[in-house]
Amino acid sequence: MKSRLQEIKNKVESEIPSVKTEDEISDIKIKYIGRKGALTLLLKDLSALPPDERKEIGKSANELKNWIEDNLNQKQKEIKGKGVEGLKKGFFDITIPGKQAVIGNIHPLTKVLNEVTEIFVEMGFSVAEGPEIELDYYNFEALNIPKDHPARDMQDTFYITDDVILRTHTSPVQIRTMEKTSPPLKIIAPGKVYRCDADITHSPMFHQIEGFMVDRDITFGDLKGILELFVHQFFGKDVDLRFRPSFFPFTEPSAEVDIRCVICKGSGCRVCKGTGWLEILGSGMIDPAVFSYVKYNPEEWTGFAFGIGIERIVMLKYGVDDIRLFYENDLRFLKQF
Amino acid sequence: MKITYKWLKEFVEFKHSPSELSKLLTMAGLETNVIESIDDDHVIEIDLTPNRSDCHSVIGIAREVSALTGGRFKYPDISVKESDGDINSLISVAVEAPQLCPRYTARIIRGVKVKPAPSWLEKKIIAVGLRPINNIVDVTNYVLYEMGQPLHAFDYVHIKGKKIIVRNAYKKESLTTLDEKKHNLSEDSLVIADSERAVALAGVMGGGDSGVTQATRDILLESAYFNPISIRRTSRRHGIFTDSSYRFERGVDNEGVVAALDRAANLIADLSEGKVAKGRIDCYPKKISYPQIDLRISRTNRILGISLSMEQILNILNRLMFTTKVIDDDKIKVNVPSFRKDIEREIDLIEEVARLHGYEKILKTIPSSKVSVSASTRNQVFEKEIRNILISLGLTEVINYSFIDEKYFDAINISQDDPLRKTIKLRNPLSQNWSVMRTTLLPGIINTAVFNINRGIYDVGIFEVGKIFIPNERLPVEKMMIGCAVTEKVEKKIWSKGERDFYYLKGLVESLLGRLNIHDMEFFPVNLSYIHPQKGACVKINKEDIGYLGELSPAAAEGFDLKEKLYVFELSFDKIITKAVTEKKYTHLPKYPSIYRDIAIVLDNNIKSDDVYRIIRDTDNSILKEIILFDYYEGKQIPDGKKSLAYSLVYRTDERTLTEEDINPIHEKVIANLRDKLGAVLR
Repeated sequence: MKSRLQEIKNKVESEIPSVKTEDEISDIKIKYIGRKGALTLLLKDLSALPPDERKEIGKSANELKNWIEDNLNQKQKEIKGKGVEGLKKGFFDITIPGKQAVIGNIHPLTKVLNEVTEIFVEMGFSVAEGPEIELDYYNFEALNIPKDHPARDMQDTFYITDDVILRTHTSPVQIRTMEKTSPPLKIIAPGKVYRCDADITHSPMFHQIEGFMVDRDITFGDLKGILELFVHQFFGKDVDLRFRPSFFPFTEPSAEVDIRCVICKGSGCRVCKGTGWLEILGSGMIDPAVFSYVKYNPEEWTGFAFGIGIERIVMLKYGVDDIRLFYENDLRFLKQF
Repeated sequence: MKITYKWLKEFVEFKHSPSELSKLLTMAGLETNVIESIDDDHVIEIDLTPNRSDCHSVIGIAREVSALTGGRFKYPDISVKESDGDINSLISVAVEAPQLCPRYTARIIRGVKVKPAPSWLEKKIIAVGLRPINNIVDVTNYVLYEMGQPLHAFDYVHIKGKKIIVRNAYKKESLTTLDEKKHNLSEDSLVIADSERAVALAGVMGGGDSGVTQATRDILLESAYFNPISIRRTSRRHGIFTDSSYRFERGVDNEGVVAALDRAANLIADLSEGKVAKGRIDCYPKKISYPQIDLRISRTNRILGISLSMEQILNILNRLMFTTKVIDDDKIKVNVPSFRKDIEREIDLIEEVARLHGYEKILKTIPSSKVSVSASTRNQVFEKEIRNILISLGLTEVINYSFIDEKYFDAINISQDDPLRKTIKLRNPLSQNWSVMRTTLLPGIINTAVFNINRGIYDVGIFEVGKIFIPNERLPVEKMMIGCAVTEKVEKKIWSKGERDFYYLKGLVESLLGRLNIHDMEFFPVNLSYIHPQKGACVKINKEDIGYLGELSPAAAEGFDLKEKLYVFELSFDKIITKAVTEKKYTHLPKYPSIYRDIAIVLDNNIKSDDVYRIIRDTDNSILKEIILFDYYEGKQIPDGKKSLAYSLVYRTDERTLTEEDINPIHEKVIANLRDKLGAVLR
């Protein structure tokens, strides 16, 4: 019996390569596995065998049947042009570029603005907004910068009238928010600000993020803790930072925050002017005078505030060397982000 | 401000190298850089914050170094060798405006020889950035830098009537200053005058004809304390900014006025072979008092988040030359020295404690907040969402300045009385290009497109989300807008076929609004000078106008020197987000399959697609579920004045699978309606 199986296999094997048409395939099918095919007939003789042998031969015969069917199917696909061999005909060029779906880009300033906002939102800060054209009162006066104070020199102001200006910082949002909300608060306020200054590091319009937190026992240590978390999230865990005493009329004590120069890693370069440090934001404990303007009791509440210049940190993060690129909007620049 | 390393060492003992010193001061709030070495000395530049008027001098920095290091501070030698002649017989001084000049002091030095100062002195003032003039003027500058007190030397001969009057300027009075500029004075300006005329703009600059010259023999030396605000206003009014005005407007040490006068008088006499007359003028009618401040240890520690002891705090205050008196376990009474004009309140002292203790020693903590987390506002959510949608539509975000040039209103061809021209104007713009606040995003958007096209990037697809400013009461109304511009041309690249047109632009608007679940938008013809009269539309949602879209009119394109076709839209962000639907409900999926039937019709080309749509829609409301226009053709294959529209009609019901018998009668009716009502024939 075994030899008869082998014989069928050999025959099929020798016949398949010369097959050219689907008809020939069905001929072979009928000849071997059709109702009266050689293999079918052979299976009918199985019952005459002893049980052990019957089982073994039966299995081999079934395997052979499957083998024949597979080979014939494969052959059929090839004849129809759908087999691997058929698909290999001709030449298909996979090096031609793909069909691009066009996707636009977010402006790098918006991107970083969102990124910074998100870092603080994750720390539980809420987002607030304020007008870009602002009253002198909110931009200066209530922030403890009276008229004729030399601190006004720090910010070259665009005037519309004597008491209406383009806001020079996002800090007025502090006053507007505190005026209508009772503490405790944890606020972040991103937005556009304006100063009359234009060169490769100054733009007459730029972006800031203001942050502030007021509660019963907020300390300078808390300010340090929150800002370190931010720096590590934004610039990376291995970036050193330092808090340096400074002056802002609306915070006291005030601190400038520097990070270890991202370009030279602290050895001193042109970007950090040889100091190894880069100034990235101003901060401090909210001055009691500011609390008085918004009628918070400074004995009961303490808080911190900070302001981050977005252009500066984008320039540092991506190595952009001219602030004007952000507002020229050359698409070759914008599409890099 | 610049000083030198060696000059500083004359007044305080310390061992730090120039770079160590620089770091020490920087970390104490005086941002310091060593900028150059001259011979055996180093020039140090200190960037002072406006509050630290006391540090605008070598001795000011020396006091600070002494407080930081504990090194001994030495005050300059202020002894004066007086000679013959009583000053009171040589000059009389009347301060008529004591509010503006709380203290006025003077000395007279006679018989001076005006010549170059010795090189040790010249070297020092050159190092700090000054130009040597002569021994008299150089001494006043030297003492200014050393002690922070501005001084002025008059040629005594030119003081008419031997009388100094400190008064407000008269109406129509004028003064020619040392720099030979003539200033018309206002009555608010404080002047130093003699019996006839003004001889100096007080605290700002001396007069040209009363200054020291080669011929000068006798000198009237002035040292005063002027009201900071008055000096600031005068200096700004006349546009004169000097070392002197800079220090006066920040506040000099009213108790250091005499010391500087004496030091300078003695030095002048020494270096010019002159003699100091006996006595000095000191008009100081109302002594300025200094604050006494109570400082609480508990409050200090609470704000800083540290736990310093009473002793530690006392030590810091005393190093800063504050005198202290312990009141009780928690309270210290602190007397502030006259040079610290910045210390007026308890919080000012707390900052001093923090500064001297060192910010780096304050431990970082994370506040445990009771603030409940509040979500972003609707505005913020949608701002982000809208940007994301526009990006996914292939547009790139741009940010333009909020101020524009008024000439763009002519460029976009709007009439003189168009409301867009009612702008908010900057009083002090940096340039004409940035002089009025924008009332539309359009000029900025077009400009950016043109900027890119001129650089060879002709495939432009951009958008901006930003504010426009509409004049109102005191503050304008700030409205958030969405602007967009796309060029007709697309990038010449394999696969990118075709051009952009009105319908592409309309598709952007429909997709944007659609993503925000606004589906009831309608488009109406629009009449705007900057939009093509036919290929433009205004967009309405529930009858409310939310903006416009269309091809930029040829006139507006020309206004921007734009040769390419540009398609633009500008929509109101504020209005869109009130219409946007955020809450979605699920609708179940169809249970039975849809049957698609296509028809192509030919009809007059002035029949609106909307009308065709309505006729089809109104034919049946039971099983006709969707009408999809999939082809629009005008051209050679059909007669002139005709167009071909092809629709896919989708039939479906939730009751069963539809058969031909269900659909045929309705489909026939659609075709009949189109024929009867619009004269459409099947193609």
